[in-house]
Amino acid sequence: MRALLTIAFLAALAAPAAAEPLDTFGFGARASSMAGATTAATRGSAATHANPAGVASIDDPEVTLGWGFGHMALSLSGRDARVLDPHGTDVGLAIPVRIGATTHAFGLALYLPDQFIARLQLIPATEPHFVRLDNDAHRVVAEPVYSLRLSPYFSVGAGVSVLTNVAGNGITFNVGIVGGEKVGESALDVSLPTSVTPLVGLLVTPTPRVRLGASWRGELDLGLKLDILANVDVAGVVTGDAIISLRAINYFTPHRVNAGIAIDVSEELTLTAEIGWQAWSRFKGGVPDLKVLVALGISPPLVPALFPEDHFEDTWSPRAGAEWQTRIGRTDFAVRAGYAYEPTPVPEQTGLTSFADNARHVVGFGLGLTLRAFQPILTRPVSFDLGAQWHHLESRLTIKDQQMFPGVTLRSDGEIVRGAMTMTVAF
Amino acid sequence: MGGAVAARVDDFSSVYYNPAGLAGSRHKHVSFGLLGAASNLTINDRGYDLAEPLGFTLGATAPAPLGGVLADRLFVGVGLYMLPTTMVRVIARLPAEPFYPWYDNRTQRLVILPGLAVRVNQRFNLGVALDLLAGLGGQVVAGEGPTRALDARVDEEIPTNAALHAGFQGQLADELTIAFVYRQEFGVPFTTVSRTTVAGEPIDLAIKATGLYTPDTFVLGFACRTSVVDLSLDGQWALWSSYPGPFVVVDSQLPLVGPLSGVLPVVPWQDTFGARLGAEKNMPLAGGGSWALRGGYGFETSPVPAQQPGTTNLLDGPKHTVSAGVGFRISVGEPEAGKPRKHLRIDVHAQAQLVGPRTMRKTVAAQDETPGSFDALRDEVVDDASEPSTLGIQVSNPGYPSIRSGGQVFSGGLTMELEL
Amino acid sequence: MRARLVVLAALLAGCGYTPQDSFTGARDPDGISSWQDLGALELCLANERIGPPGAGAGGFCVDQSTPNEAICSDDAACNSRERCVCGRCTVPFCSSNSECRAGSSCNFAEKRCSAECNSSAECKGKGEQCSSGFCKGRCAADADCQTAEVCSSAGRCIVAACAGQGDCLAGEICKIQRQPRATAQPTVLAGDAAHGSDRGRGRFVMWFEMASLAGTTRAIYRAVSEDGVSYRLDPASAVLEDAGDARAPSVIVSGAGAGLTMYYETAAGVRRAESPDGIDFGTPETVIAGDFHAPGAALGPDGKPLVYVHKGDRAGLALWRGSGAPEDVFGPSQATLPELWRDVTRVGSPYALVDDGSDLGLPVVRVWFDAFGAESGDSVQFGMVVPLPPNDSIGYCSGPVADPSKLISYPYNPVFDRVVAFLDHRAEVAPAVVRDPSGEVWFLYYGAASADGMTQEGIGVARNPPQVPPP
Repeated sequence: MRALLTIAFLAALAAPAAAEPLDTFGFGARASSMAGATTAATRGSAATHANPAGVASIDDPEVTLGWGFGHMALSLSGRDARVLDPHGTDVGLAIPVRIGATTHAFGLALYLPDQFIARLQLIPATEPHFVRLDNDAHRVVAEPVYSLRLSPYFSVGAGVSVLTNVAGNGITFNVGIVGGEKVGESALDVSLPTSVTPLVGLLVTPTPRVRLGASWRGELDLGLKLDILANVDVAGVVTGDAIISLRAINYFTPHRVNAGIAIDVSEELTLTAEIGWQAWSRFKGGVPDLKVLVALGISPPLVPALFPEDHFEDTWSPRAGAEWQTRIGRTDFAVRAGYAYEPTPVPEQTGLTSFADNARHVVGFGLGLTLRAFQPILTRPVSFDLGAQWHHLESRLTIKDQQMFPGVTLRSDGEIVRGAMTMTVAF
Repeated sequence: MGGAVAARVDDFSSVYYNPAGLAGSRHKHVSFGLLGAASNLTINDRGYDLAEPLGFTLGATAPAPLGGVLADRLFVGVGLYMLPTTMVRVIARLPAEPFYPWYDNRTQRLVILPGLAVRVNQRFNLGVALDLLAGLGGQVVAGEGPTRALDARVDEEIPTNAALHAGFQGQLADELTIAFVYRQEFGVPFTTVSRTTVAGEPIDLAIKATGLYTPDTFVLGFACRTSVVDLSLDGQWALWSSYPGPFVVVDSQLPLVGPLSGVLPVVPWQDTFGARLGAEKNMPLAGGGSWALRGGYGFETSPVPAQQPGTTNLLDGPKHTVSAGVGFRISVGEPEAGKPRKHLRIDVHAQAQLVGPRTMRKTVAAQDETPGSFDALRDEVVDDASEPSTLGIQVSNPGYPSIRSGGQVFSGGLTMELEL
Repeated sequence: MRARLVVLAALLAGCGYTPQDSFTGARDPDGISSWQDLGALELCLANERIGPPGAGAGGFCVDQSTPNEAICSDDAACNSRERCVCGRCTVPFCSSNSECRAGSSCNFAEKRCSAECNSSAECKGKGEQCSSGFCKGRCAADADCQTAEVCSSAGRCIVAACAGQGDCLAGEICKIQRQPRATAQPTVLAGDAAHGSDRGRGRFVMWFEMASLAGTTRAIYRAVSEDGVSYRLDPASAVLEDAGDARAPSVIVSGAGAGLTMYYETAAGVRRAESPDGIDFGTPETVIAGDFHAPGAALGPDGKPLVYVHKGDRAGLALWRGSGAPEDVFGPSQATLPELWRDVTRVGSPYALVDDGSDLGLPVVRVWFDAFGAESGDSVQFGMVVPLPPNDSIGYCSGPVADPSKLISYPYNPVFDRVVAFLDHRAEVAPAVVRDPSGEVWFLYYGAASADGMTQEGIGVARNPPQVPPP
């Protein structure tokens, strides 16, 4: 009988903590230029992410198509952190249907990175890296929503944010002898099951010039489950199994609540402000599971790893925005600006782990243009928006426990610059 | 209609059957549907079930809101097929495992098909659509880390995978339409490399497979409108001979075994040819609207070789498809002055696909022969006169000495289309 | 203004961007851990490779009329079965797997490094065939084969190994590739400062101890390298002999910045010599008398030397600050870790670097050392628990320059320990560490030996961070 001894390890893998890319940069150029301060000032296809209740605020179906490019100039201890630049396409859809006095609307927000649908990246926790910015922008976002405008004063919306897991029965590799020769053959069964979290929004218009908005999105992540079994049956040489089993979490996205207000100070000027809360304290990706079983007659001694809890902290992010609009002839013009402060949830990394993350100041600026009914070609309004964002990371120097790691420090800083352009067409 | 729709499709399903058909949709529509299937296939008289037998469809079509010379010229549409709980599942089986490659795993995926059509003139339409999905590829590298425990680094990407659908519809005469469609080959690539070093020894596996494969396909279709019934006829050619196969290519390095590459059987996949005939009878409904009765028949050859004397047990057969359906088109909503009424269309269909029976017999090569694994089996234990238990043919292949296949697959669905 | 929807949509959908590779490697090397073993250092004396002592000379018989090997700087310039060995394309000679680079192993029957295979499809060279588990060329004549190969009667390209002219046929010469010499105790500097006042070639300069051909005396030699892995002796003769007793060098840039200072070991203690260029050294003087060995020197920010040595038979580390006697600073009990490095009985061969600690504002002294202990738990072999014997491995400690005697052991020592085939922990001693001038990579050089220390394997090299192959 073969002796089977399991050698299990807790591997020092860091699961990337991430807001979704639309939280970091906004959905569409307008939200981007207002630093995301649009919970109470959003409508149509753009509202599908910011506040689903706003989707029903339009009368005609509309489609949004946009593209954004961000440059990540981040550094670790003075060296380029080599974070991949995020760039991708925004697609939004809003289809309202009026039934009696109420408007029902279906909306969809999609963000599609150019390079891939998603990238799973797990890096050893001892290795300095930007635990949030490294990977949070590199995944697809899909948010179908339903919105109901019960009256001119009140709208509600709900939907889901969709992601996937990587699971299945894994990979099997069999090695044996057939007719005196070594033979190997393999099978695999990998699936991407759907994973969803709810998305809810409210929009209240107590007076024609004031709008109050609130939204909540649940927690979401991408679970990775990958098993590799190598079954060896070479009589007289080696007989046994080797199993590599990986369980990890990627793209942890915390509960998010935003509450905001938008005030039309004048016919042309709208000011917005909001506060957002993210439940980072629930981050649980610190110690993913890599187990290796070597049962080939010989089992070597290996070292188990033990890592402390992550102890991420909840964050509160204030945002403010302004939009100035005017109409000249059949064209509407808009100028926008915004500011946000994003504190970091990551505590001081004085011990073994080296998660780099910084508080960020976000400044946005943008322009918009709406062309109304340029007959005979354009029969419906078309809008073009440009937005730019600058994220400044507050420099952060962490001094490791000098009793364990004399002279070791971790410094992180950098800038992020992003541009986006969006076209919205009414049907 | 047995799938004979290339020359007459005009709803969201155009993105698959013929993207040029989007130009036939003169209003905005949204659609929702349910599809289900059940298997009565057998392997040596044992039942064979389908995975993921239920799915949903969503679709939308609309003319682009342009005027002037571009009015009624551009049309857009999108079609989605979704499974209840999974985006995609890739299965690649062991070479000896008996299964039906035509039915196994090929529908276990999310389908996203955005399309665009152009009405060139009153008689000709052109269209294109993209079949979008993903693959999975990357690596896992593990070895001793700074804490002396096993450290792993995972870099896996889910890249976008796309294939082109292109189509043409032309009206040769008032009652006769011709169509041509090309669907580019599509598969979900899965590659991963796992490099683990444990106490100085490598456990390396490099895996490559292609799942959910459909080959390059060409369709020529005709539709004829008569006073009695509308008829459609489609011919199809699918290049299955280019199929890389449903098995996994693997290179490995294992402790005490050393480097080893898996050698796969070379299966002579065959192109398939098919023909479909459909008929539709439209009749008015009392109180307004209309209803239609539909039926169809189709035949398609099998891409899987009928005889597999060696390792593989790929089961299939020529297919006869019989289908029937009924549809209703009714007005909905309150009438508005100066505007036509909106309509709701409900279609129901059922289909039976009969898979021709087959019996495959295995061949065992002589001890001194070294045939390819597709061409014959090998005695797995070399005869040793001093060991009586090794004498004779010892084969563990589940298809030895023969294997039988055949049966039916039943499917049905419901689709609702609402005009906006 | 008329908007052209179609053009704009096409622009939005297909905006160009510069493709950027997804970076998958480690981004901040620290020179502490973990290390990827690169195998034996390639140390070349002219066209011959210095091999492990006791392994014997080795090469291949070639026809006298065979033209000289092609000159090369890397393997890419050579044919499929050749490697760039000491600047020449040739089939590489070996007698152990450690002499072969990644992707090949030693064909002991022919004493050559070859790519392993199970089928001919795995052989990358044109016309190559898998024969007896190795890729071999097919031929009709010698001209079809590669450097040092001849065509056998079976139509395969083979080699004929030799240790001297007597092993070859008439009309052939024995082209020696490997000469055995005992090498040990490396010390390395990188960058322009490594050359002192002489702006010589080579990004890395190594000084090391090497025995004479007869093995009776020791001297210090110098070698240079562009990549930190392949070194060439320059000059070919020893740079410091001290009557055949010069050992264990440690070289630092002089405080004045215009030259180099070497500390080295002799039977009488530790001596010091100055040189403008690391080649010509002045008259040495004894600075630490007594039973002190293997100096590891660094220069403090105040310009004063910090010289770590080990006492006696590696009884522990001591520090000499330029005058007086060395003080004890780090012993076996401090190196011992209850779970990870048990029963440490010997600590020695310190190698020191000073980090200016710019972020912290506090300079730090970093010390690598070797120690003898049990660095792993017990194994299980066919159902039985089998303890693994202790051996030498490389450890790390560090402390503030303000008090360089307060060294704190790295909590996950040892930082470098080679394991082969699950159970065979090889021995590593006498570390030397250098950072590549680009800052991307650290190299660790060490004396390699079998687990019991009886078989010396020469100098090995490892890199930090480990190189991650691209997906």
